[in-house]
Amino acid sequence: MSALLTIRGLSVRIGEVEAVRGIELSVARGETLALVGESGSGKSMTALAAMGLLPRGAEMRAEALEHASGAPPARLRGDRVSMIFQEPMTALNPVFTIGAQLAAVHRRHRPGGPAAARARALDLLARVQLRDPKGTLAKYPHQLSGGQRQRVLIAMALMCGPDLLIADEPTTALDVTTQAGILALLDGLKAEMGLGMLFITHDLGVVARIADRVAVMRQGEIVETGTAAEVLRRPRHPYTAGLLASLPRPQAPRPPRPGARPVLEAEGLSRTYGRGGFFGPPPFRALDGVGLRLEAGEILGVVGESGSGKSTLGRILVGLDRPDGGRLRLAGQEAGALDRKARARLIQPVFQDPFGSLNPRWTIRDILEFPLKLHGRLDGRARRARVAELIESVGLPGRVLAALPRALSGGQRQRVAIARALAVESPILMCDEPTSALDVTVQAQVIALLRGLRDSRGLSMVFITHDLGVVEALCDRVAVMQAGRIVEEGRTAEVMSRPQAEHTRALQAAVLRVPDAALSEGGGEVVGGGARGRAAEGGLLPPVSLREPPPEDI
Amino acid sequence: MSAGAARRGLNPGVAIGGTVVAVFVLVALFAPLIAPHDPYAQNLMMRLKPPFWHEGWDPAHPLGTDQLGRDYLSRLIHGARVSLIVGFAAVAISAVIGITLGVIAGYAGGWTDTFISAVVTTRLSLPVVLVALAVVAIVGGSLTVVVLVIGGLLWDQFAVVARTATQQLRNAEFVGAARAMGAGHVHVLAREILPNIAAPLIVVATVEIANAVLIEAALSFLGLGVQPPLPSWGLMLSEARNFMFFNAWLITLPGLCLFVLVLAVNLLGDGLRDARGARR
Amino acid sequence: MLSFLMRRLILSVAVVSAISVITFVLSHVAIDPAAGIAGDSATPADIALIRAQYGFDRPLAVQYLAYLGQIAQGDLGRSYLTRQPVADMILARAPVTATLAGLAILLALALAVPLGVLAALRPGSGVDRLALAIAVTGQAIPNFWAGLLLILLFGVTLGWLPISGSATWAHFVLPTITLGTFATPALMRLVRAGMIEVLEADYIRTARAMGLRERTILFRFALRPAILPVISLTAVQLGFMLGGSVVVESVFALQGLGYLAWQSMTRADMPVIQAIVLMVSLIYVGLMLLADALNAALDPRIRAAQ
Repeated sequence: MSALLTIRGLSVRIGEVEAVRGIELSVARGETLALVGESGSGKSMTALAAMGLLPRGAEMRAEALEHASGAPPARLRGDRVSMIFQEPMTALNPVFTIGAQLAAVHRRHRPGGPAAARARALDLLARVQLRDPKGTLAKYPHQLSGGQRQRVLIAMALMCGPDLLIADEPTTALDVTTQAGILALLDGLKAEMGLGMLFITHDLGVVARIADRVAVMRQGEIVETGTAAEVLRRPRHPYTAGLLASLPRPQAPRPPRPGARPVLEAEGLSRTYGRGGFFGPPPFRALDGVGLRLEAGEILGVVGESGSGKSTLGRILVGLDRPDGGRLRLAGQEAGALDRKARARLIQPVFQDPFGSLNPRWTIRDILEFPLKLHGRLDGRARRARVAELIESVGLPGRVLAALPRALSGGQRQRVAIARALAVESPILMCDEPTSALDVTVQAQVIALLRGLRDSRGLSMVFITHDLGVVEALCDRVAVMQAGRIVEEGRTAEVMSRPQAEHTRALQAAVLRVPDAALSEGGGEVVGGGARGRAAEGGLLPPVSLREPPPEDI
Repeated sequence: MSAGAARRGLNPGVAIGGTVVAVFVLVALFAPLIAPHDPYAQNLMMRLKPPFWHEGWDPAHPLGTDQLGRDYLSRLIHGARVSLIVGFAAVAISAVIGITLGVIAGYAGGWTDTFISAVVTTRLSLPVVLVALAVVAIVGGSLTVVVLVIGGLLWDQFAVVARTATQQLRNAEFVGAARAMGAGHVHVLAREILPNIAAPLIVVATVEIANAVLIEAALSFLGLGVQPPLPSWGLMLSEARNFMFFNAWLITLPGLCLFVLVLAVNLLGDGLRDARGARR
Repeated sequence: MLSFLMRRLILSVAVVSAISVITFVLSHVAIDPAAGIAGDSATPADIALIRAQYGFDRPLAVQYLAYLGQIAQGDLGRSYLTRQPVADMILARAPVTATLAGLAILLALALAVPLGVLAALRPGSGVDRLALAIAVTGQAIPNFWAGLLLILLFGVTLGWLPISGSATWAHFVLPTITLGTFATPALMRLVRAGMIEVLEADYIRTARAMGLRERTILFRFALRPAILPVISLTAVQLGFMLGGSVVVESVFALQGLGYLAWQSMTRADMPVIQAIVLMVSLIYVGLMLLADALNAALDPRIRAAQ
């Protein structure tokens, strides 16, 4: 029986760059092949090339690129081969109803008029577990959430009963709990319909969850293939091993230091946006009575999904937003009584987006000197010396000082952002998802850097994230947020192993774990022993984010 | 053209447009030195001499003379001064007005933004040419009045673009980082926001320079702009109307000058816009 | 959608009020209305008499309210020169300008939309570059120069078309071409840009990935989202035409509002001038409101908002 999809010798060239170099893979009926890689590995390009959807200016060559029927997949789009993409928010036409868009696909490839199309659409909308199929048909995309839209897109892809589904990072833009739902759905549909799937992702946790076979890509080439179990447990290629080793591992829980004074205390923080009434959007309660305590020299994780209010909390802590109610004390002083500069000397932010957190027109040196000029009494020579120290303390070479931000990679820019925060010498750092946009290997380095800063300088940090794995690797204590409230708080090991709140349990259940291969190789900082609680499957590792930075012009 | 050249901003638009505009600027600057005659000197014996591509042309006046015997070439050269003065001065005024309004609206938000947006909408609802004509009709026409009126009316695009760009940057993280660092609003506006909105505003400036030149020409053409005997190209077109049926060059030449200048400015603006896009 | 429209309506009312203040200033403050009515040969005594008679010595605020009252009743004042009611003069000339503007916008759309769509289908290709070249060149031609050249070519040299007056349909041909082609380049570039943006959108990629035919995608799924901004633009351009008709009507001596405006300006006939500015602005505001309403009706995102 021939494979559903056969690719041999596929190369894609964009301008001067070879994004994909002579790769070979195949997908059999009823199996899921995961194509894994970091940003720039060419995995998306491979899928687009297979479907004939390459952007203008890209050329492709292939020895063999065919579906089981003999035709190239590009000719079978929507019919025997379907594809779903990463961003559900923009993938549906905003001015047509869901029903109209679904029907269009059916009418294109299958006989039967509007009635047949509608019947099929209703059937599939039910199968993708949307609550009100009939009502959904009449809705417009902006009336649905991200998860709902992705389900609609899956339904659209299945309208004509394809045998091969190509999924390009379909869950990357979704919350962790939504992701779990979509993955379960895809798994179920695959079994039910006997689909073959080519699943592209950067997330090894996802791979562990749904892949039968795995192909690892790096810089346009496939460096390793095999069954999921083999590749994840016994990687043969050093790159794969490196990826697995970079997964955040839980740190050894540090004993709480008695008598440590809290360096940050918050009570009853509330923030509501919007005035409502005739002229504005309805009021939105971002924060509702949030209280926090941060001890000196510890890292407190704040975990939540999108809309939980964690970013609002972060902005309030550094003074970029004012709470409507509640109190905040920094190092014993009332935050409201502090002027901007005094507050800046107590707490500094590190933000998520490495592409937006540095002024694109300033050199790195200017960026680092500015806080020194603003706050210090150092003269020119002392400042330059201090800047050199700072850049070294974050592990960057001195020659980046003369560069502009766009010449640096995402990881390098984040280090500069950390150095800038350190320049003010504040005792507290507020980190808002600083590693979410970075590849896993780079993320591991940044986590190590932050951990080092805590250990060597006694820095305290509020670390906001959605990634439980990073929490386990870095945070001493953790607070879980949902809908503007803190639903649970405690030492990381406790909360992770014995979650009390339902939301925490839901988050935990949605976490995707990778079988721990590196235990036997002794890489990283692996904690031995049963303190991790979920020992049933032989020491599972927390999940992973091989996050791609926003696509640049390739 | 290689991607590298495009990134450096040297695409054909910038190159050609920029060069031609530079030529016009030089001509305007050195007009008294370049022009062969005094543009105001009348010589009724030499009226309506044709330019060199007709028979009977006079070597002293290669581009002919107008109905008052003034040398056309010299008047065209000095006309460049009028167009460019209006273009640059009026746009400078409107840039200051528009960018200030736009940045304040974009940065402050709330009621300030609503109010300024209403002001901009009011301006957008006014027919520019009609209002300019009306003002000149009341106050009387002169170069200064034209510059002030056009400058006082053409600021809307500056305001709109500055406002949108500022709004986007207001939420950028490096702005947040600067504020969290303790920087004041003045610093943020001057060092973080303004340098980063300069690029689209420069493109707007080129468009408005072209508009200003055309509006001045239209006003002068209608007799409500620059007053005679100043050699504005628009005015020259208007003066030539009565004679154009038998002396077509009288309207071809000034119109051609306007056309080439405005075309060059537009090419320059488009080129700058493309260069920015390529760099992104 | 209702709240959105209500907000726009309130804004429009505010704008119209501001404009009425501006026109009031133009006609009652910037010049001496008493002197204008009295005429050139009046003595200071005559002027003072007229000032008292017409109430120009009352406080400005009172005069402004009276002004508003007059406008509400359709009384736009009387021309200084002809003593005719301005409203009648405007009504007499309005059809000509409306015809000119209407024809011109139709011509502009007929040229701009197909050209813009064609150019957007293959950006960077020969067709696209040609379209852009036409646009850039077209935008640089002063419309009065173009009018004069057309007169020379078609009116004089070839003698095909009349060049002055507004008696017959033939009289509208050259003015329409002049005004219409002046508006075409900007419209075309916006159609092109909007179309390119839509064609590169994710949802079009989805449609392609589902195997829909290119023709279906273009004419059904891409055109509808792309056309929305064109509607607002057309309304704005129509407003421009009304304002910009001054020049074209003057060149061709078309007896429309623009020509009337210019004649009044050269003769400092203030009541006519401010009435025309007011009317044109009102129409402008009305057009923008209409464009917003159309957008709201056609774009489900606005329609279903809250």
